Amino acid sequence: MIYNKHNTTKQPIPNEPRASARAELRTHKNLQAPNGLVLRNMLFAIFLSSAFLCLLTPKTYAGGFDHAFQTAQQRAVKLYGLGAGQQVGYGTGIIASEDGYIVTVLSLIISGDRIRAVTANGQRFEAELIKRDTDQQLALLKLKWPDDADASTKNKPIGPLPHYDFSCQELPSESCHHPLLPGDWIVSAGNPFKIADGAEQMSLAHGVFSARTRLDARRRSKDFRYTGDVLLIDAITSNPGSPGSVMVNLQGELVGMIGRLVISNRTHTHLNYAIPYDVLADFYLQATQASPDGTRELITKPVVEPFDPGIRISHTGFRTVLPFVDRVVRNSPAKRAGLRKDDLILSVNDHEVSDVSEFDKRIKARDPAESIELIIRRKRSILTIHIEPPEAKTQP
Amino acid sequence: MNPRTILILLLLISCQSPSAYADAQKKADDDTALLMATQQTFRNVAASMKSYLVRIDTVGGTQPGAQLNLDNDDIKKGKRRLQNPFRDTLGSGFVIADGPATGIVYSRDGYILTSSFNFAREPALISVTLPDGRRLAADLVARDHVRKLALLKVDADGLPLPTWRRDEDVQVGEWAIALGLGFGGREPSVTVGVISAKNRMQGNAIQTDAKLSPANYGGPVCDVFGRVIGIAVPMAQRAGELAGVDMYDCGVGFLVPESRIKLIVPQLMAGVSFQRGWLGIQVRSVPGVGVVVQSIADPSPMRDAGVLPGDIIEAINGSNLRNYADLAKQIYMIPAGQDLQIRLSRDGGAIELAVPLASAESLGSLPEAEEPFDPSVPVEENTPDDQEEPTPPAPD
Amino acid sequence: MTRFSRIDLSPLLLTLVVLYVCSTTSLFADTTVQPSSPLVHVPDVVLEAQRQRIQVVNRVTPSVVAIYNNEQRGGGSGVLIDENGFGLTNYHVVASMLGSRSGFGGLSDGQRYDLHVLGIDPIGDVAMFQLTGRDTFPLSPLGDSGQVRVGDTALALGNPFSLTEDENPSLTLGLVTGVHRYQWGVKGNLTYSDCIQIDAPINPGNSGGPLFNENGEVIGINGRISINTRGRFNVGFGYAITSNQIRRFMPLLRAGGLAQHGSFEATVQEDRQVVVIDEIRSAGPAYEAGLRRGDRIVAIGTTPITSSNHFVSLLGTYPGYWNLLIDFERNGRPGRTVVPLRPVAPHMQRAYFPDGQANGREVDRVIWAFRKAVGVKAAGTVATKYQWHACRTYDESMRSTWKTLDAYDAQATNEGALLLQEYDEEGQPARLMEVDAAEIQVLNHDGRRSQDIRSFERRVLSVLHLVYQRLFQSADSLNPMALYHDGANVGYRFDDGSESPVDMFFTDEFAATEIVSSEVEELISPLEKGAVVRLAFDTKTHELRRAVIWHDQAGTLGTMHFSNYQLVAGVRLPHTIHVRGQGYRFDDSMSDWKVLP
Repeated sequence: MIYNKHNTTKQPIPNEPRASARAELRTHKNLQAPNGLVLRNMLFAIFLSSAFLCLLTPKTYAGGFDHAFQTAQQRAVKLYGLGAGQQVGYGTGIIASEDGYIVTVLSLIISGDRIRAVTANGQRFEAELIKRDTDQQLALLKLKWPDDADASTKNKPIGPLPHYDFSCQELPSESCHHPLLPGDWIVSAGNPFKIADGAEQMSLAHGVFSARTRLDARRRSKDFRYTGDVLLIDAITSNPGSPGSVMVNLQGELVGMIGRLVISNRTHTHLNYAIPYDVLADFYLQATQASPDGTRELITKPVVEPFDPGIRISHTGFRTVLPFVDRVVRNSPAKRAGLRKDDLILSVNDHEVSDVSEFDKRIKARDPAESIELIIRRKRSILTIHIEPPEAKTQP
Repeated sequence: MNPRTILILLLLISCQSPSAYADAQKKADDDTALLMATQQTFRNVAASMKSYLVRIDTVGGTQPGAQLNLDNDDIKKGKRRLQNPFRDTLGSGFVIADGPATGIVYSRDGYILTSSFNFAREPALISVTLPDGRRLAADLVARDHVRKLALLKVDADGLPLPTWRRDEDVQVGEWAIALGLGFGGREPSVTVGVISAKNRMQGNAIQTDAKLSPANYGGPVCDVFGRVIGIAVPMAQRAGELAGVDMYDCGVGFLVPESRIKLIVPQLMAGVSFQRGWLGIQVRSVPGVGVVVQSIADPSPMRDAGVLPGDIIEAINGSNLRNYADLAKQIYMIPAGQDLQIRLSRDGGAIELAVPLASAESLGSLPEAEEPFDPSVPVEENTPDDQEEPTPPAPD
Repeated sequence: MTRFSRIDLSPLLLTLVVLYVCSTTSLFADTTVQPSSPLVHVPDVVLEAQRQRIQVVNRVTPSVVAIYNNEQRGGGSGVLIDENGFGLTNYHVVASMLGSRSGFGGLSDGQRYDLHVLGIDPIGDVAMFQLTGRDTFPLSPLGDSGQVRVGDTALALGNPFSLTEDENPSLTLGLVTGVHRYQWGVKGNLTYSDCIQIDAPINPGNSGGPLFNENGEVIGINGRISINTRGRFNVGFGYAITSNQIRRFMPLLRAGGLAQHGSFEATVQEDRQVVVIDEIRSAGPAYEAGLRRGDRIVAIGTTPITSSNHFVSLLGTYPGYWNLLIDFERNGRPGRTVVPLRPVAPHMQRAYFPDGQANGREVDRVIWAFRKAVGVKAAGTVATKYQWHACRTYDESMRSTWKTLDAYDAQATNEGALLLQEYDEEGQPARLMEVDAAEIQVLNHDGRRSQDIRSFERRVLSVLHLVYQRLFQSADSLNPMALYHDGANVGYRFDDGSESPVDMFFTDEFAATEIVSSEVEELISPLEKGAVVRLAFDTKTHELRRAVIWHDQAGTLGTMHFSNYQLVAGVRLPHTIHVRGQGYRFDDSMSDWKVLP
């Protein structure tokens, strides 16, 4: 077996513009040809378009996974930027607007002075960091081209930039796509291991959607900041360059973006997951609508919020579930107070809780500044636990 | 040429391809329809299996013997050889999950089948959340450390039972859908692959390329009809409770099929646990000669049976041995206590013996090589290594 | 119910359907006594697709090989592609077995067969082997990897982690996740050019195993993966060498040879969306084929070039000596030429000794197929000796540079020599030449020995001798020819019925002309110091099509095309030879054949 180690491939990153003669482009030009004729020869025009369809069919197979992948890979960019040591960092981003907004993950490659993006047709652009959100580990970039740029000299996108629309919020579901169910196919397009270069097609990855769950993970020894929902998948995406990849369903609709490389605190495995569309859309809208105050930081969480005691209780099942502690977040107030996994919580601040939903309600309804008093059962003993807010920690 | 001529020309050209166009379109539509129907099937299987999956939480059940992280720097530096983890005699570098585990209802009266992976130690407390949401205390009835199964019992009745698939009918290439609750949440996570091979691990396992991991060990692997083909377990051709876990998403996973479960579970129900069996000998493979006994543990069943250093082990249970790998393959899946039919060759004469495999604890130490040592030939052992097989602590 | 309207339902499907029906009806029974749950409804299309996949897997599984070394240790996988037990694997699987050239190959019947390593391609990471011990072996057909698209189903079979205990392979399923990929090699070896990227899990031990399309055709050989820091196992990135690349190397590998890849001896760069020649070596094959700096490369081997990476990647899939068809553009005018690629020897740790026995077998196969096709009788029969007259016509543009003869009489002698009597423009006898395997003697018209012969003439005469005196004779004269099988190549001619070869440089006037390519196998024979003749036999018609005079340093010195096969006393002999070389172009037309007693 031959192995490619991702950090030893010395593939140069060409700086010159790459070939960009795309089939798509040719189609575009061809379809412009009959413009002068349509008024006089409507019938011919109809025939003509069908003729072109016939001619183009062999190249535009859109069955199976092809449609989803082609849709996705045309709306993604290969990103290059700061890397570890002498290496060029690489990743992937999602094109979010025709004027060149890019949504991607917050990572090393976008923290350098120079970020470069290559579109599906091989065009290369400089990109600029617009906003970053450290809590959600997301970033918004924008492709740059001069005001007087001209598509013919290729310093401006040739034709409209294909993109995913993050602004459709009017649908009843939480996002614009068909909601995913466990077992649904997912297709991802990205640039893991920077296998593709220039106009070369990105790498396809496919699998099924496994489950939607809250992320409880770490990077190296630190807990990962993002603790919101993620879409678990069974395609292997925990690879260098994958974060920021477009993830779509079989219809080619954007359902998420591959997240950063993390290890699950529950299973200790590398997680293959995507940040759901709704989280991305919220981020995109806030980041694009944020007042241009010069700062690149985007705070999506409220500044004042009740402290998280660090108690994790799962909501398995459909009926009454006793509030057993499933996990106590490391270094959390509850951990410091001595709460342990599998303690059974009997009351919160003198309010008896008989199931998980009551416990949730009591924890949410408490005064943010106050400490929490729990009565628990551990094996055969009943104990009282005082959970102090994080500020109290510094006092002697 | 006037435009009309061009149009007619184009039409003429296009007329050749309508049928090709229709064919290509039909193929594309059919391919997409098939994928849609397939994902609907996966959804249905996941939904139907929800009624049989239980979530298992333990206190103290998953403390590993050796604390090593998969991100360990040693692995990065290549010090640990993971070249062939299914043969690797090193201990596993894996932290056992501390999240919930998955089990499946095995009998109406509350027997729950899961993987012994979740019970590296006998836990102080086991809680089982039934499909209907009830959370009950469970007893660990018995474990099979060879097939990595564990049987639990909860006090319940009238539980719904899944349909099992006879493994004679299982075909290589058919869909294999794995389900688990290891990531928490109410919905099982879904992973899809195909049956890769049957008759692996001495007939103890079916192989699949579905991504089996701590998130679904102990859970079912189903066919498209929602019938259980087997229970997902970590397995490797080496000792240790965690052997094979580090390979969680490499596309080589194992499940114990129905036929084996049918044989094992009645014994587990009777409280019989299975330990890995050992010959207690040191051997070397001599090309052209075979497997030569180098030294024999004292005491050990092999010593009791009168095996001498220099004997050549020609066959075990009727299978001829060519080298150590063959020997290992023959015995690693046979639990302690079971007899082996061994054919030896001594000074040209054949000797037939029936020798029981020993448990690790019952073996004595291995004397220095009793046979002239040839440094050019690697010595291989089939003796227990304390680091690999953590001795379970006494129950509470 | 449409479920029963199908007539081709397999027994399996029927069983499943029956089971399904049983379980649905049982829903209405008392659920407390029903031992198991209702089954999921599965649409027919899903079952049918699964049934087809299982069928394909069952069909191809017997051809998959688990490869073991002499110590019976597992190393890799392979696939049989021929009923005589010929199989493909990776070079890196058999690299450690080259000392003895032997090992074992396990098949799904549970048996391990003797395995003999044939030729190797270290640069392309391919090797060929042969299993013995059965009359016929199961095989899988080689597919057309040019049809492979991203998103296609990919089935990988092999022996990951040497898991098999009964020699049955493991199946892993995935998709083609990239095509035209390029993966760098080590010191030029193990380079995966224009390869297929897949997400079917590939692990150690899968090396050399086949990649199948959904029809069960071998579209590649799996041999390489990308890994991250977690370990040496699958993370969703496998790479397979394409079947179309392998096909070009296969005849040489069967013949036990050491494959060389081709070099263009020019570099390209991308300039405004097009790929142009950047630097070109003046003595290199590209230059000699007429290409110049600044020419735009439009297509190679009729595949349109999209980027300089694409060009480099595609070029890596061609063997040395290959006649690569190049479409180019110069100042906006289209052109076409054929570049015989210069061979590049692989870097080897230890010297490689070709398999002489395997080579002899392949030479025999080619020669006897040729002899059968043209009607030469089998060994042991009396050789036929010919006499004929030939007229030589010169390309007018070349005529001024030199000219020797206008016609000649030729005669194959019983002593194994070829006698040629030349005539000049007036029909007067000129030189008399006696050609045999060792030397050429020239006599002037006055009967005195002469040195008046050009080096290219010597070579042409030697080839004429080789072909007309020896190749068309019976088997008795075969051995001294010292033939050596040197793999596959390709030949081109115009599709206008004429047999004109097009192997030389030509430009715009021919660019639009349809040309036909044909596959050939080449046998080489030494001519003189540093030069060999490469005889090309058509793989379909088995006729001799071409003889290329190749010099170690200078490359192609000349090409002779044999065409216009006509019957002479039961044997089909070529009546026209087009000779092309550096500075000369002429055609010989042969007539007045006589068979000598």
